[in-house]
Amino acid sequence: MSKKKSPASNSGPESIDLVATSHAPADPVSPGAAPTHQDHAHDHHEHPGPTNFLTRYVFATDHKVIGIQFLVSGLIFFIVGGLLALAVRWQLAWPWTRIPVLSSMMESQWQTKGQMPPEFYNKLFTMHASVMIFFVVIPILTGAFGNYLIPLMIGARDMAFPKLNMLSYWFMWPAFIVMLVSFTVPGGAAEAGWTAYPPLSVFRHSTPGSLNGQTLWLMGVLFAGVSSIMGSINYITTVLTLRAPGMKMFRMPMTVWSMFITALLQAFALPVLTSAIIMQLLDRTIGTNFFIPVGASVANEPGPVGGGQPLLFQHLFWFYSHPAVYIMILPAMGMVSDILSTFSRKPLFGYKPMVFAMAAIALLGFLVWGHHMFQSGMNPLLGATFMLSTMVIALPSAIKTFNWIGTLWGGSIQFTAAMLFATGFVAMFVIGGLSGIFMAATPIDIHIHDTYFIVGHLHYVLFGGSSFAIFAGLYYWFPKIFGRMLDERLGKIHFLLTFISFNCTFFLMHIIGLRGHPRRVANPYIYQFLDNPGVHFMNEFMTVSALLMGAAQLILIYNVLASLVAGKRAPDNPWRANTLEWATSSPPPHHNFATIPTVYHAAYEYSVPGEAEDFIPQTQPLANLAPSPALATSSHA
Amino acid sequence: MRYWSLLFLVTAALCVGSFVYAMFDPNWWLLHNVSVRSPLHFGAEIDRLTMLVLAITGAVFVLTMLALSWALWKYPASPGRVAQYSHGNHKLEIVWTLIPAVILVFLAFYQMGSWADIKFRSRRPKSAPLAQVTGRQFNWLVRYPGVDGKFGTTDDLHVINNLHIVKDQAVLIDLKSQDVLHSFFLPQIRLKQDAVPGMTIPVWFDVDTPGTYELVCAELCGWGHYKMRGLLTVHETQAEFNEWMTSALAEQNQTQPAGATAPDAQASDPATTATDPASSTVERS
Amino acid sequence: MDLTVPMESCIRETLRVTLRFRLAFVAGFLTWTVSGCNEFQPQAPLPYASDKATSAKLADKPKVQARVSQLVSQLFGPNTEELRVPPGAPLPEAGARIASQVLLAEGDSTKPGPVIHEAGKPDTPIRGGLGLYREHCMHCHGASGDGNGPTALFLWPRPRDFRTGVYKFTSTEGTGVDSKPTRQDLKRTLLDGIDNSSMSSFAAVLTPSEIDQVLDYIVFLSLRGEVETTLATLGQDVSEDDAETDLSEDVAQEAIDLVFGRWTNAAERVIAPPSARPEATPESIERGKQLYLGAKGLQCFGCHGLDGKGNGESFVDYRSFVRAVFQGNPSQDKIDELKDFAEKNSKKWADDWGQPLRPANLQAGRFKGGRRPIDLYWRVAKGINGTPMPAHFSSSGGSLLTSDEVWDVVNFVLALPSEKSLLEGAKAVELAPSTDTANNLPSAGSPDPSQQPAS
Repeated sequence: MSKKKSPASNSGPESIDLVATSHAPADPVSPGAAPTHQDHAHDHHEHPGPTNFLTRYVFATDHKVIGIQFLVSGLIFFIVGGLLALAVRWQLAWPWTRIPVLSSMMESQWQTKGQMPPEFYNKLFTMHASVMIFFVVIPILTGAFGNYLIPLMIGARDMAFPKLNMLSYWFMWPAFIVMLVSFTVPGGAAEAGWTAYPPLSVFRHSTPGSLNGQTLWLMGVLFAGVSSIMGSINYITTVLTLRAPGMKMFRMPMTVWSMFITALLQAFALPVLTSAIIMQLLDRTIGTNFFIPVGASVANEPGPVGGGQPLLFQHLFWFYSHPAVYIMILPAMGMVSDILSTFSRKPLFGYKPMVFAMAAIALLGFLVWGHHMFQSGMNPLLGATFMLSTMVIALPSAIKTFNWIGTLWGGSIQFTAAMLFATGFVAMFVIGGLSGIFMAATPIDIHIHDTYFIVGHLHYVLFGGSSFAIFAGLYYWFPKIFGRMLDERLGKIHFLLTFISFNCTFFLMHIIGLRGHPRRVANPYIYQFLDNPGVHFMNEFMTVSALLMGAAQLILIYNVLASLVAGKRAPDNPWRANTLEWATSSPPPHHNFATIPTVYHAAYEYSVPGEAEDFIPQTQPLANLAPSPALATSSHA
Repeated sequence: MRYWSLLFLVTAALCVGSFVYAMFDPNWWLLHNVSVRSPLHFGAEIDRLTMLVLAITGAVFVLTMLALSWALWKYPASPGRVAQYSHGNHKLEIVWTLIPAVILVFLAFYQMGSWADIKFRSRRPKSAPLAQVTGRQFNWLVRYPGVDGKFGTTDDLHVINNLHIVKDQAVLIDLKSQDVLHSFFLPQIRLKQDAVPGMTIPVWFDVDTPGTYELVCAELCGWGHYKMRGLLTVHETQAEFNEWMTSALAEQNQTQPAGATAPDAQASDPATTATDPASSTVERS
Repeated sequence: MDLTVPMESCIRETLRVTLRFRLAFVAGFLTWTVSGCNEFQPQAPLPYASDKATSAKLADKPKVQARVSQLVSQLFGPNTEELRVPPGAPLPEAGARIASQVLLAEGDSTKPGPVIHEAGKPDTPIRGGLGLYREHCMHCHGASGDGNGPTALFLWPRPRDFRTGVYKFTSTEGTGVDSKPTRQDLKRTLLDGIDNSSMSSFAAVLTPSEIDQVLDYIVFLSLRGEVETTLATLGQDVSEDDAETDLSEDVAQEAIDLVFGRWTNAAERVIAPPSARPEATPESIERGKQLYLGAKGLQCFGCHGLDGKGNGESFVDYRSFVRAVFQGNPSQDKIDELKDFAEKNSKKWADDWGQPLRPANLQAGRFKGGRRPIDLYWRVAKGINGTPMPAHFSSSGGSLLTSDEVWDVVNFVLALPSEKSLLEGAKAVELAPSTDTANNLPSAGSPDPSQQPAS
């Protein structure tokens, strides 16, 4: 179906008449024309780029600038969250010893010679998870890459709602501020875990962080959630309405598909989280009792009237937060699919099954939240149902993995840093996916629930998965985003060190978890079954590896900074890829394309027999072959 | 640079290797299971399923990683090499959809029975609950009904952080919480159940070896969460248990200072001495 | 659009990042690392936090104050890590277990502490009370034992300040600092925790030998604090110029003798009930209830309430208490406000540490000092040190209770949680007008003579 876009449906001053421009004769664009739009000013279809610093870089409506804003704030919080994690690891390896830097900072407040009080440990892991999930992984994947890539990859000039897009970024700032400020309020930051289970999170005196920090935490998550909702509405609308001529849904690259499906997930799941968070806020502030049962009270605090149910929050929370797991992995899968295909110089194996698998994950994602609650006191009958749905959701993930390997198989693989991280993603996702089966199996989950096995599993998915994909995306799209190449050699060293130290850090968590090492304990050695040389060794080994992993990221920081300053200028299509973002300059001009490109085929026409080049951009018709169906029935053995 | 494939291969080998090593090091591996020869033997059941899933996932892991490494080894870019042009393969898609589907659905149904036995309320022992265990920040309060068999009367026995039971007897516990969520976790019996304020959740299990086992709080419950260690004391015989119960009741009903009637009752608490490696003599050097 | 630049050349170009930038980055990183090196240098030991009440006594006498600190640090060590035990300290093994290394009283050389001797293993030094305290207790009770650790601010009741030497739940005669806990009393607190407070049971966390070590250290903190307070009190009568001479080492020795004396004979002063506990018959419970309701002029209900829920008239009302303690952030201002309010209305409100407290809710069945009948006997008969709960027993009876009557009250209190109807619609017993103690609402401002402890 060719793109038929009625000009009447365009709204707002930023809208662009796609039909008109798409048929305009190809306008030769000189690279580097991006900042100077005066020469395009005569074109009434295109607005000049803002010249004011504030509107151009700060309150920008350009999806590319907003994407970069999300990326920069995300990477900064990546450092914050990482440092919090290192403090957590330090405590687990050498409990109660002086922690470098942190102890000096807190010395005057603690008066304990640098020994952290146990509630501070709870703050560390709570804020580590909250920062990483709400400020790093989701914003970078959907906010940074989603924002930057969706319009470029579908051949649009901008998002459907540019001002909403800007708002979605600036709604992150109240969240950043309240979360950071929460460390300084009486009682300190939240310490009820990123899951914020009541009553711990509702009773103000249950733990110091619940005094004030929890309220600020809830507000932070609320703001981040509103930001995500705005983004998701924008992405859905953009993908549905602003595709370039010829960009059929099934010609879209996997990245766009994944962002689109993720946006749908967010749009449907986030309202539930928002309501749960508001209910908890009301419980905390005006004395409602949604989550507090009759007769519960803590630390002699006057017990509220009660009449609520703590499990209700868990249901509502996981109804969002399980889909949130997929929100954090689907975009990664999409990006990795594109990168694997590009660097294998081979069409993506099973494009349509991949899309359907993703859609299946999204649909089933709404039916599995109960597997977080097998031991929660929820009716065990429900547990049996959720076990089945959870087992079934492993299936699309398996299909995707096999297809990725199918993509590599028979390719002509270029081992760039981006490719290595993408391959690393596949390998780590295999581990993360397989360890998930243990948790899906309810009887096994009885033992491993709330142990380090879970921590290992989720880090394989979120670090080995999402974060490796973020790194891969960074190496892959950095030339497009900043117009400079990253240093490939440093990138490979970064990959090597990160991959090794990552596995050293997290793999042993499965073993230590099977032994019964619980999560979220400030000092596991209180328990005798953990106070033995084996567990000590594993914990210390993991901590040292984590420190090395942190140090390895300095290479990335250096690489990014150095390349921004003095990296080689990137050509328009350094990786010789097909998708539309490579069809414009690096970095793209204000409105992305001099003329809206016309799309002739799907995104993955690599190494087409009989073609001169091993890639055929989507803007270029196939010379020898008719545009093939997305899923051809095996053209070779 | 096909050698990158070796990195993935070696990583996979080390992952498998660390599991293999762990199995032979009792300091690393699953704790000694004490719910194996008892009538309910939940622990054995869970361990068996864990090993089954470990074997299946391990095999899948090895095969997948071999395929990945092989592809990386076999198909690196080299001058003159052209990638195969293929968009996929219907038959393969069907094969690798159906086989995992069958395995996963089999796993789900295969485990249903164990799950039902361990958790379904309808399967709980028909006996009256042996004790109420109430989580409180940061202690386990254990309450036995006493002679009259009823909770909440003056003859209840109150014990802190120590649940006493008898070997091979299926015990039913009423799990409660006074304040926030806690989780009743017995790693050596592979049993876990959250305690939720406002709910009374039945928990049942049995143990095949007398001794003292650790009770872990596995749900974040506040600043002292890590301190919430309890003990499970398993007595060899009912008589031994009764003896303990009698002495504990006597202690609770003590009406004279310790020296006057009974010797130091706390020191004779079997729990604190049984697990204590450092309870041996302390001498001046 | 240039789509044909070969990737290899891009990569080669990329490697030519300017040398200057690379050097700057490495230099910056090295500077940062080096500046972090002092992180790993040994930190100075924490000094003892000064006791506000003690230093207030000598606020205008800096020299005397300095002399007191000098004496105390000579006797007990200069800071919270270099510990010294004065000879004759009432600690088992002469205090050797308070730390793994203890400074000798005579000199500054350290002496290794005891070791754990296990067959087949090399001897390992004990961790010592100090080490265990730092790990398990410090975050609430503070490095100096002042009850002011980082977690403490958010707890109610607040953690104990060991320096005053006043312990709430003791079994010995006397009041305040004179009623010292026996080893058993301290051990019970550690093993059972204190119900209804944040003090949790350590029975499963520490081994019996570790519990002994921690207790030694806690007693050490008390001894040090009490000696400091005693010297400060003596110092009030000393002029600035005579600080050295009047506060001589002999004076310090006197203070030590006084303080150590309170601890040494604690075990001999345990109160044993003169009469055996009667069966908890309905009659005994009824007698106890009548006593509770004022049959003998004792107004238990004045604090604990006519329904036993701890909301009696003599105490500040629950709402004011909750406002001061639980609403908003913990602050001294709100506590001061509560204090003013209580004093204006002649209500009880606080313990001796100046922290707000509530009378026990007797219906809850949670007993802070233990649920054994003997525990409750002690609570009723001799009161709770440092709190408005007075002693109620006198061997002569009189306006106070006899041993049998104390037991009746104990039986009643024990029965109340499971028979909540006991106090339904209860009214205070009206005594004949001739009895001079007949006064339903005692005024807290002028203590009722009947509630003074028996000596």
